[in-house]
Parts: sequence; C-alpha cells; structure tokens
Amino acid sequence: MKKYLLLLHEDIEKMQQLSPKEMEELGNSHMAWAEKLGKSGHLISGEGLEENSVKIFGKDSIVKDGTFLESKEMIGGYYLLQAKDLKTVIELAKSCPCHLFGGTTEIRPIMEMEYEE
Amino acid sequence: MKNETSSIVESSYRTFYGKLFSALFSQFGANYVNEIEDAIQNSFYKSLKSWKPNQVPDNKENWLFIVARNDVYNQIKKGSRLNSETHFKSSEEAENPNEDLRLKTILFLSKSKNVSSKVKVIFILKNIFGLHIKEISECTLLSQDAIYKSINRAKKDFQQATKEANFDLTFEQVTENEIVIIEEILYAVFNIGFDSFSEKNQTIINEDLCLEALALAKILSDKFEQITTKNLLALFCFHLSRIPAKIKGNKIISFFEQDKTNWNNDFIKLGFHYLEKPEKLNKYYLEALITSKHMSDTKNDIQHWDEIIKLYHLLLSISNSPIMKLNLCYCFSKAQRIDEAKELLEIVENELPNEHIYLSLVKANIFKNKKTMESEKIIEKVLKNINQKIRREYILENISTGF
Repeated sequence: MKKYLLLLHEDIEKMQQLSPKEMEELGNSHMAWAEKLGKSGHLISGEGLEENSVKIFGKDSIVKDGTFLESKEMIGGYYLLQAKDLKTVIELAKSCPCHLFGGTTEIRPIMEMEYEE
Repeated sequence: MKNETSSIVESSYRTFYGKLFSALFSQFGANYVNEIEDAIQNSFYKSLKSWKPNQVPDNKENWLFIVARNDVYNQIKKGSRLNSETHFKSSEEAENPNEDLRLKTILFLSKSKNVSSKVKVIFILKNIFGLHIKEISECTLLSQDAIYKSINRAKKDFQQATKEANFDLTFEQVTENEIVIIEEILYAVFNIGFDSFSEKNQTIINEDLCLEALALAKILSDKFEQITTKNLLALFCFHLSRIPAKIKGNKIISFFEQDKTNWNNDFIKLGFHYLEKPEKLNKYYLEALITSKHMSDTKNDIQHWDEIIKLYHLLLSISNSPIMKLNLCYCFSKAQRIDEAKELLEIVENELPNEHIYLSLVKANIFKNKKTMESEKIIEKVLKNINQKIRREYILENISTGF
C-alpha cells in the first residue's frame, strides 16, 4: 500500500456564499465520504485547516502573516489516504465532496525510500 | 408523525440558523446584525472542518452557538467597537440557547413601525428561517439585488428602531394585535414555501419552510392559546396533507386531479382537530373551511360551488384580498354564474397589476366558452411571462380542462 496526501483547495468566495442548507449538505457529504473510505481501509487521517496561516521566510526567518494571499483559493483541509496505486486514489478523489462547490483536489504521493538490499 | 416532523426540523442547519440568530440577536442587539450573520456562517464552516464521523458533538446547536458567539465577540473586539459603555447581556443568560427565541425575535421585529411588511418578511425569511438570498429570490421571484437592498434597509431601520425602544425579547405584554402580526408573517412564509419556484430542484414546494412555519405556529398556539392560531394551524395541515399528491413525474397536479389516496391522512386529521369554530370569524378559519370542503367533496357539482361561494362572501367581508376575489371569480364560473364572475373580475382588474398571471388565467377561463379567441390570446401572453418550465407545461396541459 502506498500513501497519498489529498489536498483540498477551496474557493473561499464560494464557500462564504453557501446557504445553510448547502453547508449542511457539504458537511454530511464529507462525513459520509470519510466514513466510506474508513470502512474500505483507504483513510488514514484527515483534518480541516483554519484559514489563518503564518509564513516564515528565508534564513533570517522573517515571520509574515500569510492568511490572505492573492489567490482566492486556499487549502482548506487534507486527507491522508492509502491505496495500491495512484489510479485508485484518483478514482477515490473524484468523489471527494470538495468538488461539490467549486473546489479542487490535489494528490501528492508520499515519497517512499526505495531501499532494497 | 409529530416526532418525525420535529426530528426533520431540528436537525437542519436552516433551523439552527434561525435559533442562533435569535439567541445572538437577543444578546448583542440590532447594531451587530452583520457580525451575527458572519459569525453564524463561520460557525457552520467550522463545523464542516472539525466534525468527523463518530466525533460529532452531542449538542450541535450548543456547539454552533458557542463558536458563533465567540466569533461575534472577536469581530467586535477587532473592530474596536467594544467600548466601556457597551453592555451585553451576561453570557450566562445566553449560555444555553435552550429556549427557542425565534418567535420572540419575530415578534420584536414585527413590532417595528419603520419597516414595511414585505421587508420584514424578507428579513425574517433570511434570518429566522435560514434561507439564503438566492433561495429567497427563487421562491419569491424578486431579484437577488432587490433582496439585498431590502435586507440592508431592514438592518438600518431595525437599528434605528431599537435606539428608541427598550431592547428586550419578551412575550410579556403581547397584545392580540401583535399575535395577529406574527400569524400574518407565518402565513406569508408558509405560502411562499407552498408555492416556491425552484427551477434547480425541479420543485414548486419548499416543504422545509412549510414545516418550519407549522412548528412555529404550534409554539405560538401553545403559548397564547388563540383560536385564530389554531385555525391557522388547521389551514397549514390541510395544505401540507396534499403535498405528496401535488407533483407527479415532474408535473404539477391540479387540486381536482390529485390522487386523493396520496394525501397524508395524519395531517388531515390534525387539520380537523385544529378547525375549531371561532366566536368571531377570521380568515384562517374560513380558508381552512373552504379547503376542507374542497377536499371532502366528491361531486364537484354546482351545489358544491354555491356553498363555496357563500364562504368566499364571508371571507371577503373580513378580508379585502384581490386573490380571494379571484378565487371567488373562479367559483362563480364553475357555478355557471358567469355574469357575476365578469362583474367581480372588472373590480379585481383594477386592483392587480396588468398581466398578473393568476388574474389572466381566471379571465381566460371565464371567457373560454364565449370568446375563444380572446381566451387564447390571454393564455399566449401568460405563457410568455412564465419562465418556469414546469408551470408552463401545467398551463398548457390544463387549458382544455379548465385548470
């Protein structure tokens, strides 16, 4: 089994415009999706991320507030998944509720050391 | 059935929205409506991020309330608007939103004299019934822009109104007149839900909204025991009972064509339970009575229509609604009393805007037998003005049968 990090890029503007009903639908969908992946053994963990962020630059370690970048997209959460290959993860990610309201998902395979005697 | 209804209602974010809004509104007041709206939205967003399967808080409402309340505080602090003179109610008082403050908030808002009824209803649809601007637009056919403007107006006016009045959400010293206003608002909300226009969902009924209006009317009835509220409940129940039969295969089914076996009997029974004859006639009683008569009649003959006409005359003696007059016009035509229908139609035409859809349909129906050409012309015009497919199809299918 290989590990994959699924990053959820959310369209902030769209998220702010969701109606209470849509919010509820999205929440329930995430819950159902995570539960399904948990049962099938694909889900390792997953968390939502707060909006604020801090960035630290360069060797002088300059600290800056990185909350509002020029992009209207931000990483709103992640799922750590496991699967036998990338193809399987792509299929799983397609049904991620993040897509329901204009979001994008990004799959980053976790690097593995190919060290065999 | 009762439990089933309340569980649907209680679990919805829309209901939470209204309860949270009312609780925060009572704590922070009309000056912070924007902050409250943002805070509720944020609390929903946070729940989305932090609730996981098997890790959902037992009391969702309380969780959302605390998160939203802290958010309002933070926003106020950030904006440095919290000065020493600002006094909020102690958080202890509002710590547990066990009490449903929605009715009190509606009452408080409805008392304001600066705000028109239409604007009040829009504001209440958004903040007490948790509808989004685009949903309000879908079910009222008002533009989103117009709704935004109305809500902003309302915020300013409510702010102004609370400056002069004691800001307190209370059921004390509620006059009968004020109960009448709440009933009117619930009646309006119910009607908007019952005749909703969501093209997206292919539906013409917003059932949640109807059930929510019913739930609040029930609380109002329990609290003040007014017979008018009971009559209103009866009317709601009779209408709700027909929802399962109102749409079939994406098509609207007219009242007289509906499969009665699909009507919800529990609601019908409940309707009759609430249909108590008042000492002084009121419009909800008469409307409920008319609906119940239609629902229990099997013959649909002239005698039936004559009886209905009598009830409409009574109704019009206490309410001056042009829509009710149109209903009466239609009844006249069904009872073959065409001259009376035309006479009344002329009066109504002066009271409603040109090209009013329902008016045109009734008119087309009255002229159908004698002036076919004129009738067809009217229908053509109506169809042009209706942009919702499901309704256009309905009219096209029903022009031959007299709707």
